[in-house]
Amino acid sequence: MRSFSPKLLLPICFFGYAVLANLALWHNGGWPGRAGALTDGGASQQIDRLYGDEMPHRTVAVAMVGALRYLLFHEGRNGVVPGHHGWLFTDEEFRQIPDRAIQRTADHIARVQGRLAAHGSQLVMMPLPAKLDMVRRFSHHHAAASLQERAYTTFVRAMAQRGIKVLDTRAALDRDFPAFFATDTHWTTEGTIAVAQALRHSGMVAIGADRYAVRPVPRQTFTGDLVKFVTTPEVAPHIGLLPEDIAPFEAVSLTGDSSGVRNLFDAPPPAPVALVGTSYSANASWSFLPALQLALRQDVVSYAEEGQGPIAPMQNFLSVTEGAGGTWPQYVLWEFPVRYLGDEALLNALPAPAPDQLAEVQ
Amino acid sequence: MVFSSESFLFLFLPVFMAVYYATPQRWRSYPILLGSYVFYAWWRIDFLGLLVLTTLFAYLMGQRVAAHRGSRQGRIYLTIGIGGCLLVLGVFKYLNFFVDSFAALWGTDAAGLGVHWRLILPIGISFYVFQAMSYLIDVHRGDARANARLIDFAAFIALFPQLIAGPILRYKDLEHQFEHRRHSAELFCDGMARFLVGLAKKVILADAIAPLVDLTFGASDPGFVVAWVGALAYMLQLYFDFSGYSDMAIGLGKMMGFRFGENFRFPYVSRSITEFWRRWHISLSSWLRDYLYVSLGGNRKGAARTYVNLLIVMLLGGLWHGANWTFVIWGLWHGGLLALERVTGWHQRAASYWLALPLTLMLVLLGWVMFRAEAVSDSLAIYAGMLGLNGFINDPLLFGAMSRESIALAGLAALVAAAEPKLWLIFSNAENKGPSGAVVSTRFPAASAPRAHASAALAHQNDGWTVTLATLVLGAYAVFRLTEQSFSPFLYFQF
Repeated sequence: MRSFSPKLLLPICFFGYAVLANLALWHNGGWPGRAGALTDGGASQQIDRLYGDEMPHRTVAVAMVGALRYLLFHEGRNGVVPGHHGWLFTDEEFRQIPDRAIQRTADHIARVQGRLAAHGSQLVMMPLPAKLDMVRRFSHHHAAASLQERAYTTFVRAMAQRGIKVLDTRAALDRDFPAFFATDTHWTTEGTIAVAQALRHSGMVAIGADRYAVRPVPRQTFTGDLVKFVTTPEVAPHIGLLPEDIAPFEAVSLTGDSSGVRNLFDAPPPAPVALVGTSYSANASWSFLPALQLALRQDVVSYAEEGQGPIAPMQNFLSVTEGAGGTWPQYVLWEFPVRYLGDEALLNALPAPAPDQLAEVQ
Repeated sequence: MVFSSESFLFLFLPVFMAVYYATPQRWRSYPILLGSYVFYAWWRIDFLGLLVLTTLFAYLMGQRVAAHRGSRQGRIYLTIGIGGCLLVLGVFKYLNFFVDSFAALWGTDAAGLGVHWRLILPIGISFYVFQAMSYLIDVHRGDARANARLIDFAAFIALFPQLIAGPILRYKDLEHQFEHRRHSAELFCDGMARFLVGLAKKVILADAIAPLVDLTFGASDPGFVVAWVGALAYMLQLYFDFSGYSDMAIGLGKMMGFRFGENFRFPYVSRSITEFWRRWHISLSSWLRDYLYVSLGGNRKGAARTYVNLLIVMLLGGLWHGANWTFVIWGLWHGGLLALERVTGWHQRAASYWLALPLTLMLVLLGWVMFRAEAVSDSLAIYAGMLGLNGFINDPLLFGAMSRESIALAGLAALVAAAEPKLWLIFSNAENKGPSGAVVSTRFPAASAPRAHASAALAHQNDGWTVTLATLVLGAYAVFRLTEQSFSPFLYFQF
């Protein structure tokens, strides 16, 4: 019986914790209201989700296992690829970007340009290079960075060949300043200002005569969106993933109202410039919209959306504006991160061309 | 429901055990049956009906076979029973495959033949149908009684620890345990320890290796390095995934007072394919031997017929794993190797360890590539990579995407697989004590006395707190990793 009493620890610990965890789940209101349809597995899925997401040890597990993995192997969970000196990259920038994806996307953009031109609007593309491409010195994966650079170049060339105006944002961002955050997917305000200024000097958009002033917003620190693929925000600084620092700003019109952001269902704006794109444009913390207003000296209305990729916001903009029958902007700026070209789902979601549009492109 | 999920670990298992032990011993088949049906229906409630119908059908046929045992009528009932079980398996597991293969003969696909439906494979069907068939054959042979209570038989077929991924149990081995089984705190603790070790094998090793495998087998033309790393990783992933599940099943069985047979005996130390099949998925290989190979005549009808029998048995064993030509080829590969070893006598000659072991592992590895591939053409791409036909590192992105953690844990898994015989003695010292309390080496029935003595000394030395704390740490880390990762199904569910 010598081995008996130590082994008793196992069921005591296991079932003891199970009782405590269930009490905690009940106390926190997780259990009630979780009943779903029994026949289609809805109830079981909800319970699985409850136990997967809200067990008391979840935060500690994510923090400890993730931190250990980062310290021992310098890796994170699926979704992130760590680089040097606390830099993190989204694994979306490590996907292959097939040439056919680039050509099909360029075809789609050409069709969008045709639709805009029919209403008197000019399209200006702003393809965003991959963070991996721009700060490759902080990555172990130079080959992957070169593939992203090649994808950017091919994408720009494909659009130019179709007569689309393309701003070379890569050249604008390839300067001696931090254009991207170390632990976040997105760009810094320095990056947004550089691109806005490049657009101003490109001659692709006529400069307005409005006057704007910069209104600083208090500096903020935040945890980069890629950190959650490694560990928890509380543990991150202890393993070298420091909080990010940002100084957002707003543009205040000295000549009239220009709040900038419009709801999709608002009446068509009178603004001469519309900005369509992803979280790079939609998130106010990066200050891309005010940077454009300041650079172009005219009102810019944002139709950018977070979490939708680059295609859906443009489709929404077109359908809402066409549906409303309102005034079309003179310019439509389309911010388009190159890394999305490697997303099969995006490619599959490209709207099929109408027969007349197809003939036009061909 | 899967063992490696929080809802099983912290909801189902505690509730089930509480209800089970609160029920008087003679009524405990009721909570087993109810719990097992809840466990099965957690995935989809509709396929529970198929399980219930199969159970009732096998039970009734068993009664008829027993009533007419030894007569022509008995054989007819046996044929109907086996035919019914095979029909269930044939329809739900193989009909899609037959339709696709038939369509391919005409150069089209299923839709081209006007077939626009696909049958969903009910989880665990191969396991419970085989159990039902073995029951009928055992009743026919007089090895099992058919006068069991329906509740006991239904609980046997549905017994949740082994319901969806084995080991394949036989009623004749468990019928006595359903009537008289011993429950004790010590057995419960041993079962808990075995369960946690299995959970650790699955979550810490198999799941961590999985990304390497997915990367390789998802690549169109993997280079030399990626192909070899992926193939070796799969070899380890499959073992730790499946043997981990078997450990958990055996552990859960012990917690309920059952003693299941071992399903693995360190297969990657085998020195021949023949030995490999004595160590790998033992419940399946012995099932195929006892119910198929023997029925075909085994080795009693001459050398040529023996080889043919081996090929047939392994081909069907391959097909048991799934309706795909890859499994057919994998089965033929192993059947052919078994026959070749018989022809050459390799399996009896005990060739040099350092020659026989790597050669056997290489042959097994080549088979696993076919086993894992989605299609035969996919496996050819991996073989081409292993031969260097796709270059050394032809895709830097693919090479760069290989996780260091996965590679390190694959290395650890290889060490564990090699050292497992000793590790097993350490972690299971309390499990194999004979009536006198002396440690008996059930894993090495042919072990020499000195080795058994050394094993006993090793086990005794590690008895107690150290092993318990190590098991506790392993279990806790496995739970932490499980929570940190997303849901991960077991590989053998698909079979």
